[in-house]
Amino acid sequence: MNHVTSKLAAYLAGELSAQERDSIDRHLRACAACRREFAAQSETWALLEAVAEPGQPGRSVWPAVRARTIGASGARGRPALGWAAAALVAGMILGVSWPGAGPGPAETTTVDQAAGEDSWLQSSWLERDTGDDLASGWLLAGRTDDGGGS
Amino acid sequence: MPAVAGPISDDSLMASVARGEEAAFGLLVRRWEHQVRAFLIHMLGSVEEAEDLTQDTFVKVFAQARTYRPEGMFQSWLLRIAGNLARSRLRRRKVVRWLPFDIGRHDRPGAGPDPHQELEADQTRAAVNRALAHLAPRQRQALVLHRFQGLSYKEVAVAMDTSLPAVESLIQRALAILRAELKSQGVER
Ligand SMILES: [Zn+2]
Repeated sequence: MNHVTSKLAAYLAGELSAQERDSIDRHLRACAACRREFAAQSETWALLEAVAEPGQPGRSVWPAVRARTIGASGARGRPALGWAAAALVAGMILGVSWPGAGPGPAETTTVDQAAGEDSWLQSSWLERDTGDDLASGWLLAGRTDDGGGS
Repeated sequence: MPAVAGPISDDSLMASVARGEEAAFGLLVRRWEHQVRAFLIHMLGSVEEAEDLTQDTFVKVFAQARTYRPEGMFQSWLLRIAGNLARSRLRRRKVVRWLPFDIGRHDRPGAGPDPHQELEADQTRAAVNRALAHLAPRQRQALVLHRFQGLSYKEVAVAMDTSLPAVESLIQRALAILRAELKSQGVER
């Protein structure tokens, strides 16, 4: 008699065909050793339920992920400002004086502040409770032509 | 996909993500982040590390979006990235330890006012957590993907880049080890 202990997890997991299940059922009716093993493995399988839910859902990682991906390239999704910021940086590198401000650290601050003002992207639709029922038109909101740059 | 009602498929979103579209990426992250986080907590036993690696997972999704093949297996593809990160993190730990986080312990309103029942449930959770710590990372990964993330064996095989028989054997072995551990802790007969 071939014991079925190596098939019991797949049986509990619901991963066997009807034919395989029938054959195991038949064996279990006839074999006390496999029945004991099945009872034990069923108990373990059920006990796992105790840790199925790993705590409360945390905060969204989206702001951090965005900053490390799309946000990292600066210009993505906002070509006009991106170009302006790039021009500003280029001006700094070349030592060109920008109207209304001297070169140096002050301008760096200006660029940083501009880069931090992406909130128009987050404040409207991204802060909504994004379920799975969004209209596809939303996708157009974040469309950029820029495929590279990362 | 035609303009019909219903959620945008993951494959469509990934096509947009590959073009660098922010809205699609934000939607995809928010759709899947809780599952990735839960999976990583089960793999690492640490909420903090799981949150770090959830971020890393989606950063990789973005970086690798162009290599994604739209075959309707996004979940497996995503969890493969997360799983590889988790196993590499586990390898870097000197000892594969289960951090003292008690997975599954949180306020459950209506869980029953009986303090004895509550205590017993706490003890069971602690015992199951200790038992899970005895699994090899790949055993734990296969078991967690199927039992907690609801992936079929076939999806687990894709997520782990392995064969169906290998998944069956990993989960069978994991169950046997868990049973032995729980028995030694007196939780099972
Ligand atoms: Zn038998």
